[in-house]
Amino acid sequence: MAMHTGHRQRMKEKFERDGFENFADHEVLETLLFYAIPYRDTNPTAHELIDRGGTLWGALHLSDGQVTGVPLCGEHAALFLKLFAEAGRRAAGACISGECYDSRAALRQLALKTAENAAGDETYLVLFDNHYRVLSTRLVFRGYYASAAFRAKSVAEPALLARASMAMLVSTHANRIARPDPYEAEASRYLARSLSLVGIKLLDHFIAAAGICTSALTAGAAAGNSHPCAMIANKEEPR
Amino acid sequence: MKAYHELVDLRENLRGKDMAALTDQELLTALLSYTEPTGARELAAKLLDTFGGISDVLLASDRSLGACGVSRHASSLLRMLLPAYGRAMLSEIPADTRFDTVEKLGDYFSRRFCGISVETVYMMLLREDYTLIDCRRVARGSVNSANLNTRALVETALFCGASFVALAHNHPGGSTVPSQCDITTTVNLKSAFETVGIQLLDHLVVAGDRYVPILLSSGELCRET
Repeated sequence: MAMHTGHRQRMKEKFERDGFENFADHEVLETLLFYAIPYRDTNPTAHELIDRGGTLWGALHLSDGQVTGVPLCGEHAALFLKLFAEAGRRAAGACISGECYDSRAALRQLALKTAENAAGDETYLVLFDNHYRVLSTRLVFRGYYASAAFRAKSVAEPALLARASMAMLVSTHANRIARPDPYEAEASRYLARSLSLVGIKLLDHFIAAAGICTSALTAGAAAGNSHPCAMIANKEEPR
Repeated sequence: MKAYHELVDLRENLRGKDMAALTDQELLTALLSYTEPTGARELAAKLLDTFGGISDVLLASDRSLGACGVSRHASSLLRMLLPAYGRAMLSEIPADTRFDTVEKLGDYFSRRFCGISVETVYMMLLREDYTLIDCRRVARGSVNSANLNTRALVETALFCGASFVALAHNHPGGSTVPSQCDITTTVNLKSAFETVGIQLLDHLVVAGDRYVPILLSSGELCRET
């Protein structure tokens, strides 16, 4: 058992150093099977699965019956391979496909669609890659987004973690008026500046309500000459 | 004991189920249950909330995952999933495939770069009949085309007996626009390979399933018809 433990550690360290660069296909599968088959030598199992499937791809797509017929492979191992194949398919598909929202009209449509199921005053963050393809959409704030409670960090951090190149914000108004007030417009410009400091372009910040959306970024100038940070910090709860 | 029963129930619920019908949360929970017998559900929810979708979780760095409370054991599994899947996709390509078109090269390299989140350069070594001898990683990290070692590349191709080579590097950020440096370096490499009678078919910039062949795009490629 100690020998296998050392072997498993060495294989994982090899992966950590260089990925699967110097792994044969059966070694890739052997390493994955460490998580499904504890304490046993998974090398012969990996060979057998690939023999049955023809290739590594084939091994991942064997039926449950074909997998459980291989020594050491029980239901848990068969389930693991199915989960792995589905996770890979889904993640690889997300990496390599997706509609491009590279026009103003497309962004507006996306903003309206994002706002469809919103309840009350909510702000959503839509993240894009360099090709204007959506990486993810998430709710980042509930309430009046020009208040001090909404920090640039809650937009910048998920954008950086997702390695997004661009972002779009969509805020909904419970009062069904799709128009930003001056503080909201200034807050949007502040968010745009904050994101640009970390290399992320804010494509727009739409205010959506009752099936209409307007751009908060291109809305009229902010009221007064106050610094945007102070304006946001001092603004009382709305309206 | 309770954790064991939860685990058994979780997997029992998945028996016979179509994996494509699972939500990202369910899929990630089930995968994490192989490394985190307790708390897999909560951890999956936290990861999806932090990173977005399942592809973002699987592309996250060890450090980012660790910051979310993911153990080294689980982090290794999550980080090896996409590269392993990319290898599986590569294994689908028949061994006798002739890589005689840009489309075939692009398809191969798209699979090769699956799950690789660091800028990397690969060189394909091809026989006279365009079948694959080997595909080698020749650079990794902050890749600047100008820093590629021309002599090392030519030597490798020569000693492997290649008649043709193809280069590719990825842009993890998603852009497939080659820089002027990429274009200049590629043209120089083409000339360098020609001095030993090897043809550089093209140098592709790859982002996901999109790719731009530098020589073909810049009008530098002359193919024998």
